[in-house]
Formats: sequence, structure tokens, C-alpha cells
Amino acid sequence: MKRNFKDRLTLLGLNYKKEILIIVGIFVLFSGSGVASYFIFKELYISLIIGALGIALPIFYITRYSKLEKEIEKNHVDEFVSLLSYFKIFVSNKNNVYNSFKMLLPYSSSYLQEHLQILLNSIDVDKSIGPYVSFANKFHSHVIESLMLSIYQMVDNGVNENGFNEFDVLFNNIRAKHNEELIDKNKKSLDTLNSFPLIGAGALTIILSISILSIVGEMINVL
Amino acid sequence: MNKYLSFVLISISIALITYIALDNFIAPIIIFLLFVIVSFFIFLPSLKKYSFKVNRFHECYHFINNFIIALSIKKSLAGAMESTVASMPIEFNDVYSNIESQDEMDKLNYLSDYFGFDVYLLFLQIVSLWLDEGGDILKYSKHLVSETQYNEEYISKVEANAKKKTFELLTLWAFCLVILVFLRFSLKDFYSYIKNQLFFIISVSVFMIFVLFSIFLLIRKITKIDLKGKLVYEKKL
Repeated sequence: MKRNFKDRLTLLGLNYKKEILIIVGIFVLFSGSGVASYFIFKELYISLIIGALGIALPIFYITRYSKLEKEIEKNHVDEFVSLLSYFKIFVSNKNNVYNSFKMLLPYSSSYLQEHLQILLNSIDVDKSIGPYVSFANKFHSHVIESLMLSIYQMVDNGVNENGFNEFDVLFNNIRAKHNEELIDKNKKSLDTLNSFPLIGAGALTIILSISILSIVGEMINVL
Repeated sequence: MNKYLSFVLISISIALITYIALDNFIAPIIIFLLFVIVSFFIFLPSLKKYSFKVNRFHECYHFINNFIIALSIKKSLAGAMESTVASMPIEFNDVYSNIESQDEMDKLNYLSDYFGFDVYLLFLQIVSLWLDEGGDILKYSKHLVSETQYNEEYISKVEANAKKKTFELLTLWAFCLVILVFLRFSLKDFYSYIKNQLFFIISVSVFMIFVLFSIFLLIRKITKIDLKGKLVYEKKL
């Protein structure tokens, strides 16, 4: 179990020891604060809430790993779609498909470099559609599958104007959609910030209510 | 308005509201110092880096487009360089003055450090191809120009989103803080009791730190821009 978790973190590019330290740190900080606040302020409910955060926050922190995995997968697709615009420039400037993929290497992340190199090595020994399909399968994306099939058709028929135009039309549609998605992602990410002032307003109401009720309670006790 | 002044004003406003809410000096001073430190050491450097990157990309876009058009008309690197440099900003001309004596292709290669984006490297490859094979540079660079245009559109849309969201968030926080001030005066009698409570002092201070955190997230999100390349940020600029 420990090994799986460690491997998962390594794949995500995270440091195992650091992550464990953060999780334990959050637990100790909040649980300790809960216990300390009970002895200082003698407020059981507030101490319980702080202590519960010591369990809830590490769980919330751990759940972010699966989100991170999906995000990384999506980033690889995004990166490859962006790189294909460079590929298009290379192909349109008298390079063949193999060389154009090779020319992408300096612009790629280490992940894509590794997979592009595997693709190039496979093309060296297998001239069929196989290497293109197995490369596309790494991304779990239909978009990449369609693009790789279109690229293979270009190879199969020779890089002529028709083959290139077919790829160009398909790629332009995908790129336009991809652009919209990127801008939409940016907008949605910023939209989440709107909830902060609302949470703040709610917190203010709770702070004032607790403060006023405690004063009222003290007054009743005096009477 | 100057960014420094904006952050100082925000820090002062938050400290003032904290003082009005708590009626003591210690918490507002701590909050003020925290806002100023975070603003000057985290927010402003991030915003400066972001502006540097975006402005440099605008320059790169402008340079590539002008150079390609000039090259298609003048058919020589020297002529294209001369026309393009004349339309570039002062900052670029300062860098260019150091390499003016070099060969045209060396100048273009040297500028790859200045621009640092992948599109510039692609542009260099296209110019090399044109030098080797001749032909129509506009045809060679058709897809490159559309790629740079796409990036420009992306930047302008992301910037518009960022401006809109900054305004929205600051307005919503301003309303929220105004409510705190109004409650302080409308519940005057209760306030004289609760202002000395440790719970109230800590809660309002944490609330202000929460405001700071939301500004931190806003700046982190708006400065996250995806422009491929290895541009080195020059702090002195």
C-alpha cells in the first residue's frame, strides 16, 4: 500500500517525504490546536471543531492527488495539441512527417520527448499505422487519435497538398475548440474566486452572532 | 495607477477597517504589516514578472510580423531588419544597439535569448529555410503567423478576464468590509462589550488574513499564463 502511494506521488512529480510531512503536519497542527484551545479557552465545541479540521483537512489534501492526475493527463493532451501547430509549420515547410516529429523534440516536455522518441523508434521498424495508434493511446483522447490517423494518412499517401489540407482542416477545428476550452478554463478558474467574499460575509455574520450571543449569555448569568 | 500605490492603499484601507472593527492598535498594525510584506514580496514581483512576459510576447509578435512583411517586400535580411527595428520600442533598440555591427543572421540568433519564446525559434527556422531555398516567405510563414496570432488573442482574452475578475472581487470584498463597518456603528452598544473579547479580535484578524489569501489566489491565477518558451525574467527591468 505504502509502495503504491509512493509510486503514485512519484508519477505526479511530488516528493513522498515532503507530502507525508505536510499531511502529518496538518493533522498535528490542528489536533494540537484543538487540545490546546480546550485547555486555554475551555470551549469544548470550538476545540472539537478545530480538532475535526485536523482529520478533515488531511483527507481533503489527499483527495487532491486524483484531481492532479487528471489535470496532468489533460495537460499532456493540451501540450501535444499545441505542439502539433509547430508540426504543421514543419510539414508545410517541406519536411516529411518523421522529421517533423523529430523537430518537435526540443520544444517538448520530458514526458512528450520520451513518447515521441518511442514513436520515432517504432516508425523506424514498423511502417504501419501501429506506432501512431499506440502513441495516440497514451493520451486516452479521441482528439489525438483522430489527429494521429490523419497524420498517418498523410504518410501513407505521401505529403501532398491534399493530404496536408485534410490534416490542416481537422487540426484547425480541433485547435479552435482547444483555444476556446483554454480560455473557458481560465474564466472558470477565476470564477471560483467569487465565492470568497460570500464565505467572508457568512463568516462575519457567524463571528458577530457568536460574540453577541456570548455577551447576552453573560448578561443572563449575571441576572 | 501605480501598482505600489494601489497595494499601499489597499493595506491602509484594510488596517483602517480592522481598527474601526476592533478599536485597538495592535491587530491593525500587524494586519497592515502583513499586507505590505506580502504585497511587496509576493504580489508585486509576480505581477512584474507577468507584465514582463506579456510585454515581451507583444514585442515578439510585432517583430515577427513586421520582419516577415518587410522581408517579403525588400527580399533581404538587412532591409527587413532595418525596417523592423525602426518600429520596435526603446527597450528593444537598447539591446539591438549592442549587436548592430553583427551579421544579420547572427543578430536574429542573438535575439532568441531576448524573445525566448518557441515561436521565435520557429521563426528562425523559417528564415533559415528561406535563405537556403528562396521563394515566398509569406507562404513559408503562413502557419507561424496564425500561431502567433492565436497566442495574441489568447493573451488579450485572458487579460480581459483578469481585469473583469479583479474588479468584481475587489468590489465584493469592499461591500463585505463596508457591512462590517456599518454593523460596528449600528450595534454600538454590543460592540463596546464584544470588542474586548479575545474570540472577536482573533476572528476579525483571521477574517482579514482570509481577504489577503483571496487576493493571493487572484494574483496567482491571473499571472498564470501559458506561453511556450524559455524566456528569462530580467529583474532589473
